[in-house]
Amino acid sequence: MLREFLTRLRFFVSRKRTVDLDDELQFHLDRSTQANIAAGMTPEEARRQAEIAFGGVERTREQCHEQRPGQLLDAALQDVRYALRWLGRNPIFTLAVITTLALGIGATTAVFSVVDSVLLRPLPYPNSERIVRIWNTFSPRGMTEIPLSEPEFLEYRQSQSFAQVAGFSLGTVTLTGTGDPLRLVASWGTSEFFSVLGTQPTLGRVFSSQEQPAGHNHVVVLSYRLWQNRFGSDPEIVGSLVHVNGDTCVVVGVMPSSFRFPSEDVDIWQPLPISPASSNLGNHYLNLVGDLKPEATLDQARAEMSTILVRVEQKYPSYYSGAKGIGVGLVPVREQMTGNAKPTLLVLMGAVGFMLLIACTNVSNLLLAKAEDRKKEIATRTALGASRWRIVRQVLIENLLLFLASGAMGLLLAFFCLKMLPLGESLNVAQFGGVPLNLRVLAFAATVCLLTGLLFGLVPALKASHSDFNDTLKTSGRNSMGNRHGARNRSLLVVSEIAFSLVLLAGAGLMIGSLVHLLGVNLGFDPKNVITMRMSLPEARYPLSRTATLY
Amino acid sequence: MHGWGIANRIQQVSKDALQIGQGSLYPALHRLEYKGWIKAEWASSENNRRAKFYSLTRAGKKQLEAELSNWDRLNTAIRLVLEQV
Repeated sequence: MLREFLTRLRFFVSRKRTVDLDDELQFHLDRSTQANIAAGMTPEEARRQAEIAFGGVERTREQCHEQRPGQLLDAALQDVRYALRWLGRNPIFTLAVITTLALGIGATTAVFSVVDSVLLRPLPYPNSERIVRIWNTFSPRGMTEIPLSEPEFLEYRQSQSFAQVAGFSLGTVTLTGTGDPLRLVASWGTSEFFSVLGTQPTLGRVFSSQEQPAGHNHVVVLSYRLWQNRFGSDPEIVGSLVHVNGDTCVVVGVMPSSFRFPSEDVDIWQPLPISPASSNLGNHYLNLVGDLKPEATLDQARAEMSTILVRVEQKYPSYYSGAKGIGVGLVPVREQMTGNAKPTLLVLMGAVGFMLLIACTNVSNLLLAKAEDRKKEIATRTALGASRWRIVRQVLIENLLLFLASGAMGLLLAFFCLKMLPLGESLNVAQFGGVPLNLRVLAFAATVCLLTGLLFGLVPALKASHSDFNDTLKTSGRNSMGNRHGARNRSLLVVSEIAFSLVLLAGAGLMIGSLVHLLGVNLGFDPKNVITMRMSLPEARYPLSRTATLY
Repeated sequence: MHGWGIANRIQQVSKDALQIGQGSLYPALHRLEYKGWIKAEWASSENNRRAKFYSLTRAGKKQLEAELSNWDRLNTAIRLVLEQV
């Protein structure tokens, strides 16, 4: 086995000289001729008989060459070189094909990478599939996402379906004592907040349950971005003091850059003090997030939460008497983040898919037309003894080269598309960890490339090899209308192309229509030249009485 | 033995029953050589011409034995079946 491999390898590296083969065959013919002369034939007749007995010399030589290990590779390289030369001779055709395909592949890849990061890739939290947002719903007014009050939270967090339930809220704070004052988006969370999401801090620790009660809550956790921009990535940051809304707080930790919960722009986290005896039913400010126990399903949790809500209603009958129709809504965190972008994205994916198909049919058409031009060349090659497989391979390699080149162009295009698109505004993509062109996207692009290349390159290739070379060589070759078979093939392509275009056009029209609709929402006032402004007066420096007199 | 000799020998030994196409002998020889079952060297022939002589290698002899026993088995099997008919 090994010996055989080594022998093959030796012949793979060092080829035999062609003259050797010629000598060998020549020797055979000469020897036969001699034998025939000895048998009494004239020299001419002896030579003729020897050649008849031998058969085609050229054919034998070809076959001997084909036995060489690595011959296939040689032939493929030869095909590639020939294809490159051919493409170089037809620059306009090549350019047209590559541009068309690059557009199709680029658009598909760009949209796919967004779909990938928003819908397919796991969120940057461990077991993100089990993290659920909890809301109250109020069906009489069609409200589905009502934040909760403290007493509701205290009851809800006793649920058996969830390993933990955390409450949090979102607001803004002023950070001082580190140079210019900064206004930051802050989030206040109960002590379960970080463990529900399961993310470990990059530096230091997150806050503990002892730091939750009011009076002990002067600790902060910083975002990676804030730590980088404001504190110069100081590794000694843990333990230093900062002023948040005038309160002196200790920095206990820094979160990793992928942690952007509950919103993309949050830069600082603080403990949320909730008294276990709280009975403030009117202030619905709490957002809830919980992680389902492995054995619990969403439906079970929903049922359990509903019974808990009934219990709360019975506990505070006077408050809930006017709220018939209140319920519990559980939304998986990915769904919450994706929101209504999912159908839009899928529609967009479908649209670019159609666009790719149209590009492919266009290119296929071009290739077919080109194949008509090349009929004579191929007929000549067939007449010279090229096998059908060899010709199909040749054309297929040309087409694959075209598709690969377009794929590379398409990727470049997709890259720039992603750079240019204002994704951050329309869809909080950063929450999902950004949209890099990752390996999965590359694999997707390569697959699209190869599949379309094989599929749409094969038809012209097969057709090219199919033609009867006798006919082709006999006709003068100026007639490029093609036979009826070719015409039917092409009309099939044209019909499907028009169908795809219609679907795409209709879809695009609808999407543009709804977009215009969205942009044209009447605000009830003229937003031109109107700006809004916010001012914050931290309680620590501006007591309530002073604030009141100011306004 | 060189290619012409092999072709001739096959014809003689089989008493002209097997007439192999002389041209198709060479691709087969080359394939065997690439597999390492035979080796080739140039030497001068009986009429003092440069010719390519083939000989079995050790691996080739082993392969030959294997093929022969295979052929024997197949042969026996077919004969047994035919005798039953």
